[in-house]
Amino acid sequence: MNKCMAKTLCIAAPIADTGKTVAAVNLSAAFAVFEKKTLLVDCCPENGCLFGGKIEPPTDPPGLAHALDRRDADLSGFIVKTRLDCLHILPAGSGLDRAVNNAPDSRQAAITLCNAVSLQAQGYDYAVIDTPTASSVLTEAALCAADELLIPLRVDPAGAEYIEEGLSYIKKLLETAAGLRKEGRTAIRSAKILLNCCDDIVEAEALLGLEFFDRIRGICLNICIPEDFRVNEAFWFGKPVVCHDITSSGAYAFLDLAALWAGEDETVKTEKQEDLQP
Amino acid sequence: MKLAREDIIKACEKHLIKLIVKNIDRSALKQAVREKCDLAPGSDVSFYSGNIVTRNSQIAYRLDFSVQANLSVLLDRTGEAIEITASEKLPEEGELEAEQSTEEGGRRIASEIAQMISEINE
Repeated sequence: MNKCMAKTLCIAAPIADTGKTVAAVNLSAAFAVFEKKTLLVDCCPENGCLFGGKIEPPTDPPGLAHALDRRDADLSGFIVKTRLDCLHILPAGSGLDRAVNNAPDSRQAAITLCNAVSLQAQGYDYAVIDTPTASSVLTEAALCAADELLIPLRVDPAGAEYIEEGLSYIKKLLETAAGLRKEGRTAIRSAKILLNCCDDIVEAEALLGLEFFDRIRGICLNICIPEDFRVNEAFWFGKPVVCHDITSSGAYAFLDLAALWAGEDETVKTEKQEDLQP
Repeated sequence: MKLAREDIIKACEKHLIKLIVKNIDRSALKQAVREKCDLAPGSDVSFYSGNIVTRNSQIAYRLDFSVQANLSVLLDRTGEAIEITASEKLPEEGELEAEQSTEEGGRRIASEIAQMISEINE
């Protein structure tokens, strides 16, 4: 079983546009606001985390792909600094898809990537792993390295329309996690659903229907990520929302979420927000 | 001057009706059927049609359900029942079964996921 010193959160959902990368970037930044040393690990070949949290992004960044290409778990030289002192990013690296596809043994590739992530996460308070929608090897590696699983679920009218399909994909992800737990390859001990694009639990109840929502109520976090244009705007400016507009509803939600894990109280949260206001 | 497409507005109204139906308290509705219509409802109350109407100069939502008889339920914007009567519109063949099986499938998967996550969280 692979274990790293940092508390490692895997953000995964085998559904496109559910907000995995945005959640990973912004939750990591919120941890950093609380001065928790955080490593954001991009297991998604699109390199989206680097795009959303960059300061001066390298044009062709090496990263996780190097661990597979060179069989070298030490990726410390590829860690990218961000505008927040406590937030670092380990990029996916160019050609991560190709490296995974070329690996002769997919199980071994997942183990190699997991070991590389665990090694880099040492010395951090938190590691947050963003996963791709579709690659089983990369998702498996992320699940192996994590001790908590966070599943974003989009609950706006469009997402609610396809909720059944979305849940059937999440079921497959949970089956993978259960299989890895059985084999002793992951230390995941907690899993929660993060309701995305809805203001609060009442809105989720309305959109999904009470009878339906009651079935998943106990496994959903009480904090929802609201539909906030500032969150998307920040991403396209290459910033986490806490660096773009700390007073926005999206920033508040991610700070609440980070405080939930970091155990920060309301006073500390307000002080940090005041520090970051322009 | 046209500001929006008619079909889009109709689709939005249909969506609103669907969301209201999702949030109807089925057991309260069955109780109302027993008390107001003197009917014994079967295992489920199924929605098959709905519309936005006006009643006493107020917007109301007319929802047509099928139990063992067909009903028209009229409620105001605060969710209070205004009237429950026999519906004039009959459900089309296949409508009830399709709605029931889709909803049931979604709830089943939701329960399975809740169970799987609970096992991880134990």
